[in-house]
Amino acid sequence: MYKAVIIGGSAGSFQVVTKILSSIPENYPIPVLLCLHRLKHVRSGFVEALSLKSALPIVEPLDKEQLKPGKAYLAPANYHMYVELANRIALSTEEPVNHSRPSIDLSFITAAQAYRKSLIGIILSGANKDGAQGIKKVHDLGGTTIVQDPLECEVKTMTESSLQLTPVDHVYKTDQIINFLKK
Amino acid sequence: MSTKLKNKDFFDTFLEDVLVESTEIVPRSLFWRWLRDDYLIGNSGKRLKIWLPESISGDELYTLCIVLKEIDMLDNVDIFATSICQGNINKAITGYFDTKKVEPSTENYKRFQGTKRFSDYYSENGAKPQRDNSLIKYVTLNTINLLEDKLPVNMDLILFRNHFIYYNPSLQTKTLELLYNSLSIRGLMAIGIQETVGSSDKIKLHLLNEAENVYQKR
Repeated sequence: MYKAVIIGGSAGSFQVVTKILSSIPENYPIPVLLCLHRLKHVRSGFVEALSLKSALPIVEPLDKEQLKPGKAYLAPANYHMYVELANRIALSTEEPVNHSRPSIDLSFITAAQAYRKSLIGIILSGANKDGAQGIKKVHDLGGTTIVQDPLECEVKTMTESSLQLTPVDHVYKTDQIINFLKK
Repeated sequence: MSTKLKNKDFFDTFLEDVLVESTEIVPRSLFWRWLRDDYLIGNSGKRLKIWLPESISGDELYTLCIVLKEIDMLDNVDIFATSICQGNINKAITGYFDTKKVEPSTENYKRFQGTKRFSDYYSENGAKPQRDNSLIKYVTLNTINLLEDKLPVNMDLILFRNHFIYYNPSLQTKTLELLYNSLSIRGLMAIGIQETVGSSDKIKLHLLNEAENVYQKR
């Protein structure tokens, strides 16, 4: 039923993402898109750090790369990562949005348009409101929306901004997110 | 609507809106350091021919000229900067750029480890910063439609970074073949770090620098 998962996060989300990626099975039947705020000039190290305990292989996709099940796709530094129809990644060097490139809003909006109700969108801990418009779009187009419980977040701004804008389906702690994804 | 699109000026305005501008000058400083240290300086005895086939904001051109000036090569190269859009060529000629670019570009320039300061290369007399236009004194600026017009040949270096990302696969293939044909043997082509050249029998490119995605024609 679901065709993709997309996860957005910033400050405080690294541990949550690594926990999620180490808990879901390696033959996960759908692709996992990761749009995480990251240092602009640092090109290597982030994928490697995330990959250490991950059950899924993680790549920074090339432009027009085809999305495959059982793989995680991390938005490359200083590019926006879009999902195009026909299940491909499109990259962009357009202006930062919410001071961010990659922007969570842009990734989520394009994923929502591509997958509609077959999408799970998850917003995690972060220090700005990037992602609030994005997860609203996922909700508006029928996808399932999850926001990390602000009480569990290292930094609440991102999750609280998302909740202010959208009546999401679930407000979950990390373990609950993992259980949901495993089902 | 179709009558409007046939109007050349309107179409040019449309292109100016739709073509994606770069957001910073000296983008990806590591690439420019590599280009300076591992390619340009070693070729300083040669009169290099360099082509920027889609000069949208002029930032890549501006950066190239700064790099060349600092190693005293600016007046010994032939640079061609072209665009499908006349509006972009006009922008490149006047040299104004967005104030928003100043901060990230200054930071990029520091990482590039140039010999001066980024602020030495522009002035802020009016509302917008303006590039020192003496930098492009020797540059040939032209409108060119890559698919329709006659293209420069025997280029030693083609800079085409982060343009393929905006092309569909068929346009990308066609453009790549045209650019390849414009390269001299052992000429270099630099594309965006997350872009690919794919595989085609017509294109014999060797990956010279994996980190910066620079290819050499065999």
